[in-house]
Amino acid sequence: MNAVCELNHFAKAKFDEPGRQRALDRLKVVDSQAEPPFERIVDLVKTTLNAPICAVTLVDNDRQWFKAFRGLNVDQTPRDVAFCDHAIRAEAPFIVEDATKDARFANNPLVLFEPHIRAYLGIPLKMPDGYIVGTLCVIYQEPKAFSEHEIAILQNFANLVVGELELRTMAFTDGLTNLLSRKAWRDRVEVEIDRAARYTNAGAILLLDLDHFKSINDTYGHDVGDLVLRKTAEIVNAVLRKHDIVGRLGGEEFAVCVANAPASVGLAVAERLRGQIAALAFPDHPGLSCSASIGVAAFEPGATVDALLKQADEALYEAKRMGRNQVRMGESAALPSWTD
Amino acid sequence: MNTAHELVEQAVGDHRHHNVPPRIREIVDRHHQTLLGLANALIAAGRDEDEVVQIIQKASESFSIKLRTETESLSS
Repeated sequence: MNAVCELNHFAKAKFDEPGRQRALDRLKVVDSQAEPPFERIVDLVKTTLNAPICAVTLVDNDRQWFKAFRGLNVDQTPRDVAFCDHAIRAEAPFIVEDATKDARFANNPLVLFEPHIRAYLGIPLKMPDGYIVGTLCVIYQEPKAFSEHEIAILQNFANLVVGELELRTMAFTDGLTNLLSRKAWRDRVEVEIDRAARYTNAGAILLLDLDHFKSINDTYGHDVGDLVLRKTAEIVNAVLRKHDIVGRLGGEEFAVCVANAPASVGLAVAERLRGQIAALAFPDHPGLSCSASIGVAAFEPGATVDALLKQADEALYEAKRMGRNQVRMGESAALPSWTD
Repeated sequence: MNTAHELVEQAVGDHRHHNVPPRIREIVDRHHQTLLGLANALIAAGRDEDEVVQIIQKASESFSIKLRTETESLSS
């Protein structure tokens, strides 16, 4: 391993595409808005390395998407023409000094047409779990040999990008369960409700509260209480679809937004969650069992996230009152529901 | 002539973080190591000290602001 590679903080790399894609999905960064830290880094890289084109690239299923970029007219390209896809597979700084003389790239549309790539340097963005989610790259429209110093400079900027991605993730993630924090969940659900209103899509909010959680903590200790919360989060993640939104609102309370589905689907999801949580087994803690009560509220025209949460909370209260370990649908407001 | 360490101190001296929650400490330490690495690489590439300090300042500014916000929100 050369000196440049050693500059990367995380020595262990894995090229496991499904795992890599999941690692990227966990960051919840693809298709997000522009953010100052990444904008600042591409500005600095562009100036410091005198590069006409620079990008923080995330390699998604079938495309490369640019989180921040300078000198490009598009924010994504198909993955099969992406130089950055070669860089993430190389798992080391990837250098092309003259694409027109390189058989892999001479006929690439990004070489033949805009942005007329001639020289490329891409540094893989390797996350602490070892997965490479994209690159920080510079592109020149003339042939260029890259010095060790230039590679080292870009490698360190890439490490800064990784730190920014980590911090960004931490800001919206609950540390115990890795679900969205309350604020992040609300922000994302507000966007989903707006989208549903525009396209008259249906949807539902589920509010889930573990039953008798205090007594689990009191009887078995907080470590076991934390284990129950983590197991609950695993179940919720396993049951939900990729585009559903799940968060831990606090304590033993979780919330789910079942997107683009009628209330009947929301109820069915809630029932599956309830059943699977009730079936949780804890072999190391004999006698321990848990259950959840769930309130469901269907999207309604004009309803805010607060109104839907209130409605789901009332249904949750009713589920608790009726004996716990059950699902209840919230009382709809006077307005008609969109679809069901 | 200043070392990379001194230049980084000069650039981010006001942004050092104390009482950072454990789960963020590791990120902060790596960030600091990266700034040192960047300063070293810039010095090796022949950049003058003022330019190095300026680049390190800009490179760390957003991180520091975000970190401060995050630290405050976690401790609340």
